[in-house]
Amino acid sequence: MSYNIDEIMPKLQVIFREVFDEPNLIIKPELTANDVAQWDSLTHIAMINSVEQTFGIVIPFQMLMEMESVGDLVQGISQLLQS
Amino acid sequence: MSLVYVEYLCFLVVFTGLYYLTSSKKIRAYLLLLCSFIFIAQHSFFSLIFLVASSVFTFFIAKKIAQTKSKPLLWFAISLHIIVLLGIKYFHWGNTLVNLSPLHFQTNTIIVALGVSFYTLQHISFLVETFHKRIPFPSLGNYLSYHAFFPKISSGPIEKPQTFLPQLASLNQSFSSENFVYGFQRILWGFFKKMVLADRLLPIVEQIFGLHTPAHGFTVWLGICLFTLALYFDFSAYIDIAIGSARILGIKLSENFNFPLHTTSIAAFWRCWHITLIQWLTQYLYYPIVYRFRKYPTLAVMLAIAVVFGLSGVWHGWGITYLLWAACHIVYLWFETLTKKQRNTIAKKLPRLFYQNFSIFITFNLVCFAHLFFRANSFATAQTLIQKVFTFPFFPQSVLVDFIAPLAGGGSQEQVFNLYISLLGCFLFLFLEKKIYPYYLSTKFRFSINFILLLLIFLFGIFDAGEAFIYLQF
Repeated sequence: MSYNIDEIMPKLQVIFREVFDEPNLIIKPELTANDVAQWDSLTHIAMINSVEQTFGIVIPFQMLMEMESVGDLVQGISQLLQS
Repeated sequence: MSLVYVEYLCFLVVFTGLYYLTSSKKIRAYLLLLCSFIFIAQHSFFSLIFLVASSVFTFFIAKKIAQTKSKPLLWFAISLHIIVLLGIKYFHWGNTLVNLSPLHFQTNTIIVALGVSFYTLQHISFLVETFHKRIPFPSLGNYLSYHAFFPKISSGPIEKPQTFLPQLASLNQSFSSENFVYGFQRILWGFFKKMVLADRLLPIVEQIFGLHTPAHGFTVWLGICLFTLALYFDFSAYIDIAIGSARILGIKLSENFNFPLHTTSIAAFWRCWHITLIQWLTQYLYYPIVYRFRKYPTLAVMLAIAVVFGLSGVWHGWGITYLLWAACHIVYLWFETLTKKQRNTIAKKLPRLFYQNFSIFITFNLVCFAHLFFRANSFATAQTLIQKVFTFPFFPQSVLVDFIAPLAGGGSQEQVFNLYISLLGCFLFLFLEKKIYPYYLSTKFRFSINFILLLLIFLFGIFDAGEAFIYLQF
């Protein structure tokens, strides 16, 4: 299944709300771990796991290490979906 | 030569003068390396030989790795560093080499290879970053300076190659009064913490940990807590002096502390205590483990915590006490990981200020309990101290006999006065440090605070019988 960037954000929103247990969370490209109380290393890796399953991708370790915000994550997903 | 002594300041002044006499990048680089070598050789000549040998070996093997992208070679080099570090630290290979050497090295210290634990981690960082081609390959001279740089050789901070090496490539900047003032202030701040606070606390701590007193309950627990304060003042003082010295030369070193004793959880504590070591362990161990086992997030995080802190324990020392120190932190962090949701729910129901102060109090006491194992010379000592803490009545019945005398190492008027001054100074500084520090660095109050610090150093500093920096032994 292929997605464009506009389709990635709503799917990510669902994942973020579920993993970080914040039903009203609105995600934006500039959102980082500092902005979400429940975003720690455990929920981060649970979120990545959920992203990989939802989009059917494997995020390489190096790419993951370079991601700092939701915007970086969206770009990474988009790049992996196109490759 | 220890950082606290006057000789160090003389060394720094002479070197800074020579350094700024020339504006040639090349001459400065040679001068920096030469003076760093002199600094290390002054400690022990073997330390210098060992540092140069390990750096030259790593430099050439990293060059080969960069050319061939060979993973087996990378693993060989990393394994060799780990084996040698274990050999030097725990199996005393250094002593054997010193004794066998026909050069008859003179070592008047138990630390055979100065800073080996710290620069070994830097070697490994360099090998990994070179393998991934994330850094430009440096010259051999700059690579040697990366490890030998005298302000940080003894006990860090552990620098990443990508932050330190580019600074060595731009050594031609002119003298900056801003850097000089900042550096001078950090050095003064460090001297104050070491000479007035840490060195006054360490004899009190020795009374308790050396089992020299019949004290129990609160008195012993206070002694254990004072070790945490002494360790913080001592290690952060070293880092202040290192950062200040480097800044005078125009080089920025990484911060290693960020008011760790004001944190509200153990996870937050570890983001503020020995930051460069934890960042190294996080980058090269924690993240790869969590990534590899990400299909099982809770298990992955718990495993990564166990590996990181288990290895941190071994890095600090070989023995059951260091492993128990690490085990305490593993259990604390597992608990925090598994109860974050519940703790957040409780936090929302309680007044914010109360919950925050209560969390700081609990975190501090948990850290102190773990430090009991870190400082105890043996498992038996740790066991005795725990038994003493839980001997009732917990609070001293006679203040002078059960509290003051055991901590002061007697009960004379002078000892009691010294104890009061030490405790008052340390706790006041601990509570006010976070508030004073930003003012200290601002131009408005700089002069007056510098004057007060100097005055306090001369009035209350320990000049003649100061203790060596605790982290030198690691």
